[in-house]
Amino acid sequence: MQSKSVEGRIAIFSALLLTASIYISGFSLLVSALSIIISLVFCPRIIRSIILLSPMLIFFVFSSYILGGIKHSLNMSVAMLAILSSGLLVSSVPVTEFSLSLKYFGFPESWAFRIGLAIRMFEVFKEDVRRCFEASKLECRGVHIYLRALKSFSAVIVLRSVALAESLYCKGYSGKLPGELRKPNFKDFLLLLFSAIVLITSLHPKI
Amino acid sequence: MIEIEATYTYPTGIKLRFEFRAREGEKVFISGRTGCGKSTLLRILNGLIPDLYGGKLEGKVRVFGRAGNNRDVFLVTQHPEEQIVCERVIEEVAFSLVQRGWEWKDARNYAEEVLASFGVENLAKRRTSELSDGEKQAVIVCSALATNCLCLAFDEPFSHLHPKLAKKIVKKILKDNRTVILSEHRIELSEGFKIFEIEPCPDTAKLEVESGEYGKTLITAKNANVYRGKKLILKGINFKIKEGESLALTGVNGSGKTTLLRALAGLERSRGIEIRGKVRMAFQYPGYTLNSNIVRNEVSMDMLRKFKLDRLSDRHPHSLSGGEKRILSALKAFGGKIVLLDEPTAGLDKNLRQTLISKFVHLARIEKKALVIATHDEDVADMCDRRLELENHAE
Repeated sequence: MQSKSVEGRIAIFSALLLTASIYISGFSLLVSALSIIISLVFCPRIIRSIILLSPMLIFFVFSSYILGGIKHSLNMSVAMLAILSSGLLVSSVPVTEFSLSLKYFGFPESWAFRIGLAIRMFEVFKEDVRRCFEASKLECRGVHIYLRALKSFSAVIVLRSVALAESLYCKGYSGKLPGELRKPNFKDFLLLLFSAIVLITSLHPKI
Repeated sequence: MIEIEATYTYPTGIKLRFEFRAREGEKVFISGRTGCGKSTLLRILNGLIPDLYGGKLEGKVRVFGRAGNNRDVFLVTQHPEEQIVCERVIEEVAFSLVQRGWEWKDARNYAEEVLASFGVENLAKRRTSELSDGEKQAVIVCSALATNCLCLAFDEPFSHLHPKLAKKIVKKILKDNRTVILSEHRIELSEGFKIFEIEPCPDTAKLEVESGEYGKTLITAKNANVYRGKKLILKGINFKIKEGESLALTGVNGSGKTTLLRALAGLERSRGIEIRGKVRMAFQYPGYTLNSNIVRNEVSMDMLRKFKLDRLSDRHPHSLSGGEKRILSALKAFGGKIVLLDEPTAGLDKNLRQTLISKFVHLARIEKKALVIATHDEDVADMCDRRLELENHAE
């Protein structure tokens, strides 16, 4: 069920290696490009997230062009895209596996669960925001849609939080994480290997 | 043995007295009018009151020899999406076992057994966010059955389910050897239970709906198709609704009642539907439509008086009970020419349900509005001018 995504621990570690490589190389075009290629090859579905983040990237391209010209803009934009795609490797990991990986890397179990729960609640809140906007659209026009939706959502989010607290209490929550980590497969190890190679490359003085 | 002889003072100052007893293994059905304190009683049993809700609890509360607590009593509440905390079904069902100290492997194996005994083992690997309402409810019931609690308490967990599906789940719950306490408005689900009535529902007369001519057509669906995203959900729907007319949409869970309402509101894609007039909709979760700081800013005082809710006019909408919020959200929808109500009577007692719907139908008639109600409730459907069974149109 989870084999389509990168294994949690490998995803976190590889993301750290790739991000570190980009910084160590001083935002080198080669290292950034390699990081992007690796992220996309091992987790093609991050393309969707990159498309969603494209307005931010476009803004970044313009602002870096204004500050330093074309070459600077190109270098910084590719580096930004590389950092984003490396980070998105982690976002492809199922929430439970991500929490278990955090626990594996030494995070306290209850904190790992809370972080996972917060990420999972995004899905619920996303749906709530959509519904609040729909309800507002039926009632008003223009900027009032946003204001009214925001008002409804701020109340809904508080009620949801209380309900969540109630639910955790009912289930006897004691800070333990359910689930178990799966073993990394060959593809996962390959990702780790390539990430390590990129890090070593970034250490080269001529890069 | 469960024994309660206590008085609870809500943080708002209202006092309620409870006297309740249940033996080990007994199946108790709690009934009573909306707002009589059924949920409060269950929250006292599992310690949510006073631990989380505050207020003052005085008197004797003994649950299997201890005070109200969450180790002995597992409480299932009304909205399943608010209870689910895990990403996958198997994790959700095993969650409370892991919290009680079980090893993951043992908890997982036991959760699989429970899911299989419930006939929903195929859900084990599914993501909880992708489940339908009925499936979510089944998962929550399975997570309750999987715990080693001595008592399972259910607080109107089936109010959004079709009666047939609710009955099927209740039958499975009855097979459990532990103490089961079910709070519900639908008395037809009480078969096999000992009935405990907190406060009888007051007799409220149904309002006689004024007869009269319908006005011009406000909604026309001619061989209409309704889509959710790109998926065709309903096809070949035909109906017309005129000013002053009311229509009930019926069908099992997942038959497309809410989707059709959303299509009428322009929130889902459709073909062959024509709307003439301002549309307002009351969603199943009333919080989405309530956005004022005070009840009288949501709905006019005149409207509140008509529905005997003027005593709540100075309250914050979100401080109202679930049933009151639902009614307020429905009244707000009457601001439009076309009024769409999604399960407006879920979680309300039978008499209140009847009074409310007869008032809605009456209001639509005299104010020349088109009223469309999606409901599981046969009584509610019977009170509307016409009904549309959606099972025949579902794709």
